[in-house]
Amino acid sequence: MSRIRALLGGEWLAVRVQIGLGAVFVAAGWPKLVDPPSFAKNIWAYGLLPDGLINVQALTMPGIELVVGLALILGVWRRGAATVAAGLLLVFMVALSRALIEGNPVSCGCFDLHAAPKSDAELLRDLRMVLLRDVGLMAMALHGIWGPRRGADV
Amino acid sequence: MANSFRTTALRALILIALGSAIGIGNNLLAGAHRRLDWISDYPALEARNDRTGGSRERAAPSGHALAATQGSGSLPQDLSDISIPEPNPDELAVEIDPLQAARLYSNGAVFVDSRRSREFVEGHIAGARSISYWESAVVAGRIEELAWSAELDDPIVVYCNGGDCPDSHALSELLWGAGFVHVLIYRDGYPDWIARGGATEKGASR
Repeated sequence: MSRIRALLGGEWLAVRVQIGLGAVFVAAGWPKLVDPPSFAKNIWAYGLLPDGLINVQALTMPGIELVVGLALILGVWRRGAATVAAGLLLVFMVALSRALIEGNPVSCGCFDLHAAPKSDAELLRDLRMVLLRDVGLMAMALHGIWGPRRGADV
Repeated sequence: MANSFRTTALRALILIALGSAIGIGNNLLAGAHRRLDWISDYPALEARNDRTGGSRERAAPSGHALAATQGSGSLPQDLSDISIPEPNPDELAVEIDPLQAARLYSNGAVFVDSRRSREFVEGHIAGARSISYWESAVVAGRIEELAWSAELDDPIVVYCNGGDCPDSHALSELLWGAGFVHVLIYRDGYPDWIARGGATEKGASR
């Protein structure tokens, strides 16, 4: 038991968790950064934001994902980066939950903005899986916020 | 503890500001086809659901629509008895079936590809022009070019990637807003055109 506690609270796991989470954010941010119009279309399809905010989000969020991902991978300002990651994941989870509640078969738009067309049932099933994945990523982000850190790293 | 929290919050804000700056800088340096305006008017969300039925403002395909959509075989040689909807200033756009699209094509109607310009370059209906709805930095200019080269009551056939794609419906709203009164949506779009052996070509819009 104490071994498990030592593993969960140890620097060894913390470093790997932050690198893994960072890699996910870089992989998610890059395709959106190189194709803002496709990301704007994806945001519009969720139907959550007013027109005036769709392009603002499409232009700023990919850069934030990329910076947060790089900060986590490099171990720079790890706690601050994990905090932003947790905030973004919360936004994603709210959007996904609402799409599922409304039965809105939207393409996730998480990594691949040009995915092959899918049926509504497939899209909704994908959303459920993505929501589950985001719960796991949120656990990683929370570990980055409250997990062990080097003395100077906050 | 409070000091640590303030530092974390400040660093989080700096990361957000830095990421936003990268996104904005990227947009300033981007080519026209992947640049976004800060604010765009987007279509009502019903357009997103047009895969399952048109909105009140749009007329559904009529007449031979059922026969035309039952299979994706090649098009008949004689299209002369295929009827084409008349221009109607009160109607946003009319959905047409593949036979009507083929008849309009043979009549020399303007075909507009509303998909992303990248998709257009990879392949499009021969002779079509590209007006990608989502490329907000270029869409207004492209519509203006169309208005210079076509009469407002000319038939304009808009297409995208078929039933799941809202782009053609969204673009039809802009065309209607620009004064075009005979906008026709080829609902089954480019995949259907290919399946029926219609003429295609590759390359950028002229």
